[in-house]
Parts: sequence; C-alpha cells; structure tokens
Amino acid sequence: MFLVRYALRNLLRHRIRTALTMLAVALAVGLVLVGATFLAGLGENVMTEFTRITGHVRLRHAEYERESRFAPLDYTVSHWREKREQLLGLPGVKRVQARLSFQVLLQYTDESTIVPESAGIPEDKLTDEQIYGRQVIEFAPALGIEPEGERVSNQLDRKLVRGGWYSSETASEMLIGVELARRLGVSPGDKLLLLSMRKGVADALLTVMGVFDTGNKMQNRFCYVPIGAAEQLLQLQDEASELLVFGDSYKDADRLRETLASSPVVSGLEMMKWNEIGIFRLITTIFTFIMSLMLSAIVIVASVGLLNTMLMTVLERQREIGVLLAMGLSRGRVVGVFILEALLFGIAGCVIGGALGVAGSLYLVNNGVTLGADAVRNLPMAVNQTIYGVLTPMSVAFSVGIGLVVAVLGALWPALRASSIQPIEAMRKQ
Amino acid sequence: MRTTLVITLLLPAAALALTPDEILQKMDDTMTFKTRVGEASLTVERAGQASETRSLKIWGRGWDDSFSIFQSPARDKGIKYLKLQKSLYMYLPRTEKVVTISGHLLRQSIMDSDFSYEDMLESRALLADYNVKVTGEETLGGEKCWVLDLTAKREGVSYHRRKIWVMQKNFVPLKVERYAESGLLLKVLTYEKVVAFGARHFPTRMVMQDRLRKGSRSVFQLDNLQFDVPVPDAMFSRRNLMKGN
Repeated sequence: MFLVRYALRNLLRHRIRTALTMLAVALAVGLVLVGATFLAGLGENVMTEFTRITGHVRLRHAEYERESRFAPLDYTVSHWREKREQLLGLPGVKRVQARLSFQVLLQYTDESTIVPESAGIPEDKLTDEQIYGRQVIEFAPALGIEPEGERVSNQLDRKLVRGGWYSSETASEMLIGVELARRLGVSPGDKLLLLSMRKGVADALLTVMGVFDTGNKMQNRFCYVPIGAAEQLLQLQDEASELLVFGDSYKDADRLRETLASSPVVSGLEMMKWNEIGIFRLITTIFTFIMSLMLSAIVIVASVGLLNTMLMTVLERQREIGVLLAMGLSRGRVVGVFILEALLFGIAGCVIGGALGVAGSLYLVNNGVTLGADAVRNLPMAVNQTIYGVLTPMSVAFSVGIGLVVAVLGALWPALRASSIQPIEAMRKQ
Repeated sequence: MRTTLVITLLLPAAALALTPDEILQKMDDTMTFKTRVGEASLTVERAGQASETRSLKIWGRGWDDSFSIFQSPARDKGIKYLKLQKSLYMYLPRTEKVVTISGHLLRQSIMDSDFSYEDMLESRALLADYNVKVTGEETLGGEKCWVLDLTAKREGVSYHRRKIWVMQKNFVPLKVERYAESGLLLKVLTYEKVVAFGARHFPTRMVMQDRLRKGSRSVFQLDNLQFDVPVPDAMFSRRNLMKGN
C-alpha cells in the first residue's frame, strides 16, 4: 500500500513530467491504433475488390486454368443456369454469378464521312471512308455478365462515369471501360459492331449504354455484354467460363468450399477459394507481408519514442533511487515503485491514447482517406481511391497492450540498472 | 571447267532453258486468268471434331480482284468478301455492316480454317518480293517438279521463305511450304486434282495445313469452274457489296 501511495504522490508532485510521459504513451497508443485501423481498412478494401472478381469460391472447367490466358471457350461450365439454381439451394450460398470471358473485335463506324450514292460521284473517286464510313477497330477483352447480379456483386454501376446502366437483362446493350471508349472514340448511345471469329464469323450490333472507370488502366479496356448476347455471338448454348459463388463474407470461404464440395453439382469442376487463385494468391501473400511490415514500422516508431521518454524519466531520478536505497528500501521494492508508476501513467495514457485513437479511427471509418487517382491507376487490379478504416476490438487491445508493455519495459530496465549500484554512487549522479 | 560440265549434264534440258525467275513467271501466268467463275466448298477438318463444310460462289478478275458469297450453312449465308488489289472487305448480312480487313485482322483465319486473310491477299507477283533459285528436282505424286526456293528481299512480307514445287510439264504448282524467318515451317499448301480447261491446267483442290494448329487442315474445293467468261464490273463494286445478294 505504501508503494502505491508513494507512486501516486510522485506522479502528482511532478505533474509536468507525468503529463508528458502520459502524453508519450497516449500518442504511441493512438498512432498504433489509427495505423492498424487504416491498414485493416486497406486490407479489407483489397480483399473485397479481389473477391468481386473471383467470388468467394470460383467454379471452372477442370481444364480451363491451363489455357486461361487465351480465354478458352472449349472448356466451359455447361448448363450453368440449372447449376446455379441448384447451388443457390445449398446452405451458406448467397449469390451465384456466371461470367463468360472472351476476346472480341469491336468496330465503331462513324457514318458522317459517307458520301451518298445520290451525290453521283464515281466510286473510283471515293475512299473507303467515303463509302463505308470511318471505321475504328479494336480487339478487347470482354466479359459476358448477368447485369443485375453484376451490379450487386461488382458494383459496376457505381463506376459509371458517363451514360447509364442496362435497360434490361437481355437488351442488346453494353458497358465499356473509359480507356476502350477513348480508343474507339465512342460515347453512350453509339452502336458498336462486335465480331467473333470463333467457328466462322458471328456479329452483333450493341448500343453503348455506359462508360465506366474502375481507376485501373487494364480493367478500363474491358467491355461487358449481357451473357445471353455473348453466348449467341460465340455460338455457345448455356455455357459460362466460370461460376462465382458468394457466401456471407470472403472470410467464410473455407466453410463455403466444404459445403460446395459435398454437392454433386460441382462434380468435374475445379473449385478454388479466392485466396488460392494464381495471381491473387501471390498478391495476397505479398500484400499481407507488406501490411505486416508497415504495422511493425508503426509499432517500432511509436515504441522507440515512448521508450526514450521512459528512459529519461527514470534515469533523471537516480539520486532519488540512491536515497530510497540508503533509507533501507530493498532493490526489488525500488524497482516495484517505478513499475507501479509506469503502470499508473501507462493505464492513464492508454485510456487517453485509446480514446484519441478510437476518435481518429472512427474518422477513418466514416470519411476514409483518398489516395488519389494516380496512386491506384496502374495497380494490377481495381482498388477504391478512398480507403475506409476498419476498427476492431482486436486493434484496440493490440494498441493498448503495446502502450502498456513498452511503458513498463521502458521503466524496468533503467530502474534495474539504477538500483544495482551503491546508494552513495546513485546519490552523486546528477 | 570439268565441274561445270558435270553439273550441266546432270540438269534437265528444261532447267537449262529457263532461269528460276522465268519458271516462277510461267507459274504465275498459268495460275492467272482474265476472269473466273465457279462454286467452291471450304471444309475444315480438326482432329477429334466433326468436320465443317461451307459452300460459296466465287467470281474472279485477274489475280487481284475477287468476290465471293457464302451459301451455306444458314448462319453464314450471305456473308460476302470483296478483294480489290490489296484491299479486303467483308459484308455481314446480320448487322448489314462492312468490315475492312486490315492490320492485325489479316492474321485471323478465314471461317475458322487454316487459311488466313493474309493468305487470301497474296499477290502473284512473287518476283517483286522474293529472290528465287532452283534448289533441285523432285518427283511429287508421280510428277517431275522443280523445287524453287524463295527468300524475301525485304522485311514485312507475310512469309520470309517459301519452297515451291512446280510441275515441269505445265508449270502448275503442286506444293508450297511457307516459313518464318526463324526457319519454322508455318504452313503447307498442297494443290491437287489438276484439271485441263482447254489449254490451261488448273488445280481444283487446295489443302492448307497451318502447322501451328495441331491436327487441323482445310480443303478448298473448286467446282463448275469457268475461265475467261464475261463477269460484270459491278460485281467488284465496293458500293454493291452493301446491297442485297
């Protein structure tokens, strides 16, 4: 009890020192908490964007992956409409999304250059542009989608920067990325000729409904067409490249996979969780490593600052330690006093720092941090420009724990060192 | 002197009379016509898959101009190709649009066959683009042939090197091998069923094998061929391409 009273008296007697030390603890705790909230938000953002593309579990033909870079149409999930209904009947399955990946040739014809036959100009005096119009041709990666499902899972509608959404699920309409629109020189309302050279020549005329900007250059070269129109163009019947299965959260992918594995519907199909998928697995591993490094850096910076303050606080009191030892206080009790003091202002600092950190984190949760278009444009996948924080009880416990442990360790070592010398020597120290 | 004499004795009389350039020129003359009208079928055979046949009508003017309309199957009916010199246009009846085939589109295959649009645009004037030499003689399908070796004079030609087997008796080519600059054999075109049309001999069946498409070959069969009959110029009109069949 004496030690507690002594420690409290010390804290109150040197109010400025106590306040500064508490501030150091509070800042360290606050910094770690806000940093952890931001990084958790960044991680959540990236994983969520990943799983918009991959689903929580992805189903494909077993041979598809081998030639996936060619978007092979010989290895498809057949009868996908029936399979989807069966999958939706399984527990834990919230949504099933079909996609059909293919390469397509797009032609935009600007007919304003056409000279009408009634003008009476001989054909040999006319250029191709004057007869057929100015043609702009681009090869592009395309995705056959179910518009409404894609709006829910991919939130593509939020990325539209011009025009609007499909008028119906089966309309002859398409959405194109802003980069592809720039190359073709088209705007919403223009018609594009889609040409497939698969099994001969097949063509379709689709109206550009909207232009989207995912913030990512690669994905802005894509175009999205209703899957029915894509199947018709590619001369496929009820075939999709993949079925994306969504549960409640990407964190439940293990359970979802187990459920699917027990169903005969997936027989013969390759089943992969989002974090097992090629490039995503690699990116996830690298990203997790970088996140750990960043969190470690924050913890180290905060800890070193706090440790420095603690060392100064204890070392400047060596004369006091000498007096306590000379008065007959045991070394253990002397160290105990300093540990107790550290715990007291550590707890107070953690409360203040925790409150500050929670306030800062809540700001991040509600308002986010905008990284800017240039920062995310050239990433290999789409990432939201605004990163919203994710505040978890674990982050609060972690930052408070760091504050307390560093405060106590910061007091322990100099107290042990100061109490190990002779009282007379300790009293001589300035 | 002795060596020259031995080589001279070994070479056939015809080869002594003609230079490699002249052989190639005569081959070009044999394959060139004022006009040509006929029907054709294009059959694509792929290992493990059912073969697919398309029928079409064809019209030709000289070597460089041609016009064709697909007749079957139903999904391809009405697709038209118009080739004028080095330009190629495709009309799509479903969308009533014309696509000018150029640039990277030229590398695409025609109707999923082993023939590419680039093959279709080939000029007969090989002498302008290639250096020619006779590398020997071989018997192919019982016919004595010269083997011509053509190497591109410049960058940018479709195939860096070609080997052509030309029948000595009538200057009809029997086989063409097309190579990349790396030496890789890309395509083999075999001419079969050489038929006499008056004084002209002409192959009526062409088999193309794209060596990069494993287990695939495409057969272009010509039927009811007529040479040097009147063909209206309107057939080769860009404007008419967009009009009904």
